[in-house]
Amino acid sequence: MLTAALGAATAAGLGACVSGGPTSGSPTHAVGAGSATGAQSAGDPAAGPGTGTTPGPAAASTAGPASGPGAGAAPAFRADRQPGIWGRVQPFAAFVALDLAPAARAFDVRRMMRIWSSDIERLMSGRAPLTDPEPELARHTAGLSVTVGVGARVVALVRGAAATPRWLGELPAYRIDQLEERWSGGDLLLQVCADSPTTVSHAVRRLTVGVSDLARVRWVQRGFREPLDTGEGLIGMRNLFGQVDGTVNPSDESLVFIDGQGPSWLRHGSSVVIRRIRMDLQGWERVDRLARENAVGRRLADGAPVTGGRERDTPDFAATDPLGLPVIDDSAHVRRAHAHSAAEHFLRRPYSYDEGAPDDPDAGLIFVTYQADPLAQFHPVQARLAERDLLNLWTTPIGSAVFAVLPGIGADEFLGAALLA
Amino acid sequence: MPDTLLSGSRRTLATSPSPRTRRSVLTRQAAAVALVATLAACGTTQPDSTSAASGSTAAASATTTPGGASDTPAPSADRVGPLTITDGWAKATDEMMSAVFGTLVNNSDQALHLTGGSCDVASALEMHEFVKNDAGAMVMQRKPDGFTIAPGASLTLEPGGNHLMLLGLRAPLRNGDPLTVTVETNLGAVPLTVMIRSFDGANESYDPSMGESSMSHSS
Repeated sequence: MLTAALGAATAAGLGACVSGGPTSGSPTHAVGAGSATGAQSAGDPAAGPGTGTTPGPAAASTAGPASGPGAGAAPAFRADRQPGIWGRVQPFAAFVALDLAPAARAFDVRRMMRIWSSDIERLMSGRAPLTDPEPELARHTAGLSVTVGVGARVVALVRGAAATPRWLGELPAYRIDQLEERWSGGDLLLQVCADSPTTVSHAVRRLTVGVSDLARVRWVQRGFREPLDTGEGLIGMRNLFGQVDGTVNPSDESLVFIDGQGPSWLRHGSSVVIRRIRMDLQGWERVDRLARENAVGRRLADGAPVTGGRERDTPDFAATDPLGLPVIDDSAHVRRAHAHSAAEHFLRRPYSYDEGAPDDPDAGLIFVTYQADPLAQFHPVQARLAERDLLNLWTTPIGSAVFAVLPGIGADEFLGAALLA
Repeated sequence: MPDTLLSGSRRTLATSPSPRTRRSVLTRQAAAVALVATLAACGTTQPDSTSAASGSTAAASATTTPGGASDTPAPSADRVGPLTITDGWAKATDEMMSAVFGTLVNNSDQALHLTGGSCDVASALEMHEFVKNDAGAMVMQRKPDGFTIAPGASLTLEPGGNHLMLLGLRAPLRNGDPLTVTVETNLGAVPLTVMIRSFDGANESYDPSMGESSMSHSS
């Protein structure tokens, strides 16, 4: 089965969506009120190593400052928007979905949010949570951000089923999907990101143990990615197929955050789609370089279109070779993923995963996207890729979940205050 | 940064399944201890440095505050009371006993003598300590004279150490709910609001088999 999501992810990295999109042009510093991450594009960590790719503003929004782990301002917990969306992307992450107890009521959601707010605020400021038996592990924040989302059941519990946004639920079924229950769905989401895997581990443990009487962990997906500062310069983000990935993002924040167009309890919130894309590393092993580039429509070395130019240049979809055949294959990922309208852009924040052994790979991409409306922005691209995309030969979506990402909070509030008001 | 998780607790009270219990905690305290601040603490202050101000108000004037006090804005620093608790929490439980932990801070210029206290959902609140008994084992026992905190000093309450013991609980203490206790001091009664949290560590503090004789839970 084939993968659209990866397609979309790669599209990002490969710049398929760059052209004509909001990514080109305007600077994309992390200026969201909720992301005091101080992302400054001092370079282009997203560009492949050793390539001459021009730094692009779009890269800054995910790749953030061309500085190493720990550099830059710490993510802010109390702001209009939650941290962990806009701005620098930390190299280690865990995505944790939880299910509320079967008999849960609205006040249980309130209790969870009080607990998480206290613990997250403390963890993000280098203070141990109140009941932390390993307080030393909280001493260094390592750029920690924790982002909280809720599923349809939580919204229905608190505000009634009628208040659930139409996009909050399962995505339409795509024919490439081979979804597994153990990687799909959930009532609540924690996205935990940091520059240290120990910090991620500790935060996940505290935040799940602390509410273990209220919610049960449904699935955990751990991921890693670049940019990473090796001390010899930055390594840009590439997926495990070696493709420049997840680096092209909209500069238009209104595509990412919910403003006037959504329910009031989601103002300054967002939505997140988390798709687990298994990548067939063994199959990919047998594909020669030319075929790999043809599948994507971009050069592996620098992510530039096979029609020439640089990574962020618009692919020339009309170009033909001397025989009159299209230079970019009709089913090349870059062609299929290319946004058909400005609305088909979303923020990509993917991580790789690798849980298997060399002769029995279990690896792929945790494809994470933020957008104001998944059905309007994510779905059209995914549907097109599901229909036809050469990369689908080596990629399979095995998990899928959608959550409403709560707004940030003020000084006297706890997470979900607007939802629970 | 302020940790204001208990904000909105009043709303919780209204929707909680055991609202009667919780509401009574607040109302009675408000009436009894003068508690602009109790309510303020529950409603708008910062639980991690909780109910600071409550004390001040209580101590400064033992007069009762009219209703509507809950809308009082969070007190400013210059109104900090003689006794505050930072990082305060109480252990969630379905049992009859629990305890309050955190760091008690004496903000006054006098020695603060904590002699006792109360909690609306408990039959008694006692000051407890851990000491070595004749057999060399660490046991928990009531500290008959209570705690004394020097001016400007603080006292750490922690599992396996000093704590405020809650006895005869009449309702479960639920993870994530606020809890207000009132501590009697030589400078007046001080309400302290903390968050209830589940906690599996240091179970010895709560082992019921642990020498009843050494635990003078007379009440």
